[in-house]
Amino acid sequence: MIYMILDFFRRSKDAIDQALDFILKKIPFFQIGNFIEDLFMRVPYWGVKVIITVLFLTLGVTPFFLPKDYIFKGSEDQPLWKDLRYWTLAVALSEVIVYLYF
Amino acid sequence: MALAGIDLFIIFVYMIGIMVLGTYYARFVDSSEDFYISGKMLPWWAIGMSLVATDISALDFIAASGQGYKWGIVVANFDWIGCLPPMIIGAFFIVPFYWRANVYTVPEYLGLRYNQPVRAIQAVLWGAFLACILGALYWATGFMLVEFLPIPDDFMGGTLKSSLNFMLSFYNSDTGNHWQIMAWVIVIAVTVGIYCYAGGLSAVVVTDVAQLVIMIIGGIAVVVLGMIKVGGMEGLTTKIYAMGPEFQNHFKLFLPADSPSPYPWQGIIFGLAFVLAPAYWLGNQAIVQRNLGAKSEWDTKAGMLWGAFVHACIPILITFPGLVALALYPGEKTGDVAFPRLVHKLLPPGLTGLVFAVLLAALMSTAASNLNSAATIWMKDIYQSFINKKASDKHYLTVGRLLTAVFVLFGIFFAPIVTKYDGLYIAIQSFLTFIQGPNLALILLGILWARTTGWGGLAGLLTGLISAIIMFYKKELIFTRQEPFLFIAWWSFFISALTIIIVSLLTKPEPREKLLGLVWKYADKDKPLQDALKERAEK
Repeated sequence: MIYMILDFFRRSKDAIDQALDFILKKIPFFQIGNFIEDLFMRVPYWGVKVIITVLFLTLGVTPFFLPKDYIFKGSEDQPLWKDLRYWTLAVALSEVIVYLYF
Repeated sequence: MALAGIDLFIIFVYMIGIMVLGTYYARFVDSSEDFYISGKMLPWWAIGMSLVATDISALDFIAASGQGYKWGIVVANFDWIGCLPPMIIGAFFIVPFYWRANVYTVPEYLGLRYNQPVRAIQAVLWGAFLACILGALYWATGFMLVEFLPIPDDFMGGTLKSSLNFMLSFYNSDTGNHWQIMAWVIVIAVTVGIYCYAGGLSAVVVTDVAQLVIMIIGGIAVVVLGMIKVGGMEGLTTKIYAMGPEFQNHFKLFLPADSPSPYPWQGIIFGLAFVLAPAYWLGNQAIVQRNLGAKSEWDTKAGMLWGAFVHACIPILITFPGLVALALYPGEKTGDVAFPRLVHKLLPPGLTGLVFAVLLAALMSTAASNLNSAATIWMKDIYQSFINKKASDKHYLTVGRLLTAVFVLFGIFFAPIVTKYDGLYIAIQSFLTFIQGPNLALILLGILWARTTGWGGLAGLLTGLISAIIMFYKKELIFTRQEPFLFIAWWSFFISALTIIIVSLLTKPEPREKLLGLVWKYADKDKPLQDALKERAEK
């Protein structure tokens, strides 16, 4: 009985395997992949750095567009050091410096 | 590598100190909420440091410095772009929603937002993963610790060796130094298990804080001594650039698109920064559990940002040793010897013991978090949801503690199995690649788009998982790269998100009442929700 069940699973696995191979070989993954890779290859090194710098700066300033109440929600008072918008800006700027340096 | 008496003393004091510190917190555990989410009393600074300690395992010190040795500073992306952006996004857009929902686990939140099948699938997957990864983590680290501190054959008159070999004979694994690895596995698992059993999440977090301080001190000692020896940053770059053309990218954070390494820039940005990292930081129960225990919504946000600050320093501790080792000891066949080589050659007695404590600290903090989270998911999402829904709070506390003990034993007995079957080890390691893409799609769309429905979530989870598994096992038919895990994460996320959007638009929208407090749209502007949150905060 156990042998029959195991055999059934083995045959099912083989059938799925063959079906997947058949389908996947019909799709030109390598051509699509090479096309996308070609596009990426055209992006210069400084272009990648610009993308990253913009990403970090965007993250750094995004909290400034959120309501102030939301930033301080849960805090008993609102001193400057508890303003999480400045924390975020500091984290983001530290990364900008690192990514511009290396 | 032989350790001096002072080294052994430091290690002994460290182990005892951590266990005493952790078990001290047992006195603050009176309810299941105390045990699983620290009674919602964690301050921001402890949350942030615990997040980092949980993330950094002992293997990071070996593997990251090894990859730094081989590929250069590009590996630091895993700790910079792979951590800071998702932690910032998590602080403002994700974690506050978990906290407000008053849940214990991420699957519990997904169950509220989508439906019970989504919760059940997530709970089984994460519960099994967190339990199994313990065994893999223990064995891999035990393997590493034996290199530093081998146990003599005649230790305890040879009884230990013969007993452990008898145990390992059931696995047909009683060969070589496996008994020494098993001895370390048991020591670590029991130490971690005792304080997790006693103090729950509070013990995990407070020991994480202490362990992170030790990691930073020990890690800095290695880097500073190495940098002095190599002649500072200028000496480091000059020596590595002089090694030849294949080392010219060792100080670049982005490698060309056609780089033969597993880390070309498009993989780092699309796979790591956009999918793997956010999924890990926003959806991994072992990570976010300490955020759920924050004493206020501000603390949970601030904890995430403070963790990001601290995490920015981590590459200095785990990637730079690889670069220093390359400059000082080039020509190694594998980069994984970089960190042990530095410790062996550079550090005086006393400091070697401290670095050994660093590795123990890194292992124990990660193992404790996984252990505690495994117990939480199995209790909350499986036992309480499907087996025993109406027991007392004390009962759920007892079950959580029993599950902690069970997973300690499971980790010990599962550890040798992991090394016995390569396929199993690869499957455990590959699990995150399968689950991360769909997990992120569920979380992001669930919180940021109110139109997402339960059926959309279920369909997206299943298609994402299936597509990731197919891409992994048929990678030679789909990808030109040999290690396409970053690309599998990206495409499984894309397929999952697309499915969620299409199926959600084709199915009936969720009622507004169900979404209150769970999605961005109904978070800030809704008066009844504000009143409910205020009432809860005043309790």
